[in-house]
Amino acid sequence: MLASELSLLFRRRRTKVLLILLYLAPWLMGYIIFQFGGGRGGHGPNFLNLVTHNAIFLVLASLSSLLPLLLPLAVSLTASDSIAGEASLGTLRYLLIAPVSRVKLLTCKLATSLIFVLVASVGVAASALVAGMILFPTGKVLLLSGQTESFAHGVLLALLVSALVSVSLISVVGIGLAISTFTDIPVGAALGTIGIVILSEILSNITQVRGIWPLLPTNYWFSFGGIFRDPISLGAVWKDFINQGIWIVFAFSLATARFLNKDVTS
Amino acid sequence: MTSEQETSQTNRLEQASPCAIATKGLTKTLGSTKVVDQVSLEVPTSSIYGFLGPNGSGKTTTIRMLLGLVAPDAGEVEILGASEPKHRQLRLSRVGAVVEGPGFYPYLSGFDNLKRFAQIAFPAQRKANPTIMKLSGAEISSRLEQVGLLDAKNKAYRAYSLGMKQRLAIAAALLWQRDLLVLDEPTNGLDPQGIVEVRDLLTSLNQSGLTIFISSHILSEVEIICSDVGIMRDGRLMFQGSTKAFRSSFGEEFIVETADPGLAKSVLLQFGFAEPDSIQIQAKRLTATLTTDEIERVVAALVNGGVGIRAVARSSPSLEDAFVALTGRSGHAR
Repeated sequence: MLASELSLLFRRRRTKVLLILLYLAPWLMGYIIFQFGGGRGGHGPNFLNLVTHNAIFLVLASLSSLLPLLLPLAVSLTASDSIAGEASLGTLRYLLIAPVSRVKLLTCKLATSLIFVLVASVGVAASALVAGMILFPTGKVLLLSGQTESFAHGVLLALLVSALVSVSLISVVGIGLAISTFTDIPVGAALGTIGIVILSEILSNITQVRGIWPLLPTNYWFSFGGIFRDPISLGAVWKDFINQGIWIVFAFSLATARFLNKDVTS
Repeated sequence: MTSEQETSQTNRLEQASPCAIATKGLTKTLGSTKVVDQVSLEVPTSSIYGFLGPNGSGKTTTIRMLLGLVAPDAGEVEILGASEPKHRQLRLSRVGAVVEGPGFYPYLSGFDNLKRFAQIAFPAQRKANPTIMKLSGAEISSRLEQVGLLDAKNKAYRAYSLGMKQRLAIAAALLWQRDLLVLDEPTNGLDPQGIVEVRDLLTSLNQSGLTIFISSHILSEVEIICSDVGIMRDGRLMFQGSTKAFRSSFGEEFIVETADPGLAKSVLLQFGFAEPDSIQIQAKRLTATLTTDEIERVVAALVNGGVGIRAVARSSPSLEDAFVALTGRSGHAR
């Protein structure tokens, strides 16, 4: 059943377009930096100015530029399509009478969206690595803490970062899945999901609500910078894991409770 | 005995229950209206059951409750002998259904849509029958052929006409070996030729032992093939029984044309051939519901009683008339 879900998702033109756009972003970014120089970057750890020194940093710069909006947007569109999309097509009732148990359907949809997240962020990293290796030097990598490491070691670290970015997006998958059990309109569910992500990002900039920061799903999103230090600093990464874990458990429980009791009238 | 034979025999035993579908006091309230009110269905095994009623009379909600899509507020459902929700869910692997029109992925071809549903349903099929195999491409194509869609099998679903979409939904309901088909308005969007084809397909499926539960708001479309009917109106089941019983409960009428209908009436009453309130007189014409089948005796009595008979006739009211009487609407109305 998971195989069927995956083939349905990845054979869909919308999914392919989303992924191609995401994968093209590092090339665009690399080309601009190649032409005009790095300058000083915007969001999160500042990797843009390091890109001209080493290809590895194009991976980091790409992931940190896509993480605040475009990656969560792509993930929202996919995750919130899970149930709402099937409902709007009228296929949900036919899946359920196939029969498939509701919990199993929800679990498969969750797994499918999680795999999409991995394909998106690891793919962006791989695409950025290739673009970087073509455009920029591939020598020893200067870590943020000052030491140097081999390029191969740098590639491993960059892939690790893309895995951490995937973990950071788990909360978005959960929220999207939960919202998609409440509506039959997939676009509405996607807007709701991305709305929550943006709200969380706004709140994490308002110091008056510092108390709730640790609960915000986006709070530890840039914790992966610690990977590029020696020794590797993982404190914030663990906090992100716990935060994402809480969100997915909460969101999936909500989705299950709602979906099990839902009258399917679509 | 091979295990396959064993399984098919158990399946047959399970089906031996007299009713393929039985509900008791099924009720569903949406907002403040009772969409389905105390509906107790009895769908005999191997029947073709016409579930009839105007649009909005609660047919689709009832069907959704039968299939576990909507939870009833009160009442019980039994499908192929299974009443507990968990068992009923499993039993759905023996039920093919079309509910409120087709629902498929517009970006997949007809063939790929069926393949997707075949993959999704396979674990449940395997659970019900461990020897069952995955459907091959050829088997899926044969289902498409059965509904005349073979030529369009690689065409995207979004390019299908309404009639083709409806046929695909019927093909999907027939993907696996079934004991029961639940078809909600399956002839919607079909042209007259298509309706005849679907009717023929259903009749031949029924002859192989399948129970067919078919809903429609157009009585004339299903009347010919139904052995049993249930009539819904405003969420209530107004009538349920065999098609024959349905006709006769609305009385076969006996019509006499005579110069003296008053005399004819007194003769009928004298011999007890009819109840007084079943007799109607219009000009030179008497209409009555007889209490006996022996028309010969009735005619002889009238002649002996001195009634000059110009014509005698029997009229069997069509289901249509009965339907209108029960639902207050013409079955043709769309």
